Amino acid sequence: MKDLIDKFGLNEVLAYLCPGVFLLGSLALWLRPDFAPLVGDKLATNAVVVGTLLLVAAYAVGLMGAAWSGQGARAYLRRAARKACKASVPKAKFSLRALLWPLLWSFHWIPSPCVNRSVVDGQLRIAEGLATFGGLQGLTRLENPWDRLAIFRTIVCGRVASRGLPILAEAEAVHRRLLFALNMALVFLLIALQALVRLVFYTLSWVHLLGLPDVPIGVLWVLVVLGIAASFGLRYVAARWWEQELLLTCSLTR
Amino acid sequence: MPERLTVKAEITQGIVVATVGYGLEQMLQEGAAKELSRRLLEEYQRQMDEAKKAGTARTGSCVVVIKAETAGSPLVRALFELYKAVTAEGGQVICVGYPSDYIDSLTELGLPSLHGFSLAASQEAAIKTLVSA
Repeated sequence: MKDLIDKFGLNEVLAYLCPGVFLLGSLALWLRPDFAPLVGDKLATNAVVVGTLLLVAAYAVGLMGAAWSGQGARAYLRRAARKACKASVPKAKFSLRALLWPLLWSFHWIPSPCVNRSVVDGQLRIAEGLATFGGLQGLTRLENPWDRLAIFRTIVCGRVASRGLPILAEAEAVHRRLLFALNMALVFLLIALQALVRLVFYTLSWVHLLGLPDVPIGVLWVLVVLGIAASFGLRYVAARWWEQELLLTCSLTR
Repeated sequence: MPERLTVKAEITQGIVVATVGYGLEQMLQEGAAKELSRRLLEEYQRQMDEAKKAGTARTGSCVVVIKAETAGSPLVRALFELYKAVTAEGGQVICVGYPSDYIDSLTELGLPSLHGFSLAASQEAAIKTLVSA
């Protein structure tokens, strides 16, 4: 395990592999594990082959989940910022975006830091640092606010004095935790939704009709309740880490 | 669109209206934020002083009209510095014509979420808001 962590890096294991394993595991709600059609009868009983396949699949699923989580959070934060912005720009009365907003909110809502002058000033200093050291202006498709902080730290890491190095290290650790929390929040919600759909199938007596594996109804309820609770709980935790990361990174600009 | 940095201000219905124009090059220059902030603050203070002497100042508020197709951190910094000066006078800042492609970058920095800063679709709408406030 230590070798694996060394090869992948803690960031990869935490941010991608763990959510991938959970999401892949949730397939047990729908499928009975049978690897024989994939790798043949002989290899299907080989734990190393099956384990490696599962690990690669979990990593791939985790990467996709992370991409979804990041893109979704970016879309949510942009939309939320536009809503908070007191723009009197004429808006269409009906639009697809307005319809998608509840969906975006439920999947990617995260409490934003309370905006005041000092927060604006700090974020502006980061943006100015990126423009100064990066030499580019007006990049409007940069990822999430925390990704911008990570890019800033990468750019300035060679320029900070030795007293800033512990801050850099701590900010990186907080960033990893933030990504992990957000990815897991999405995974838990997806698991809860799958369990909810299974409950509906159970109510409609479709479980045997579709040949789905038997899962006790109590387990499904637990997955729904705990999944939703864990998802929204993790977003609160992620918000706290976002603020910590912002504070630590802004301290590097002074 | 102007290729040189221009900042002009006038009083309209007792409100300071500052018009800012620049080209892409100004946004890329080193020290652009300082220069833009300085020019914008100077124009605002000059107009406010004149309006106060003439007794025509309605409020300390300011409408900033952007005449440009690009934006960047120097413009946001200048707007933020102006915002601090204007709110110290008890007024508010309304920004008109912020390049639409860059509005997301502005909102993500949080400036439009601050009390006393807002965006408007037109200069007339901005002045109407401030006059009726």
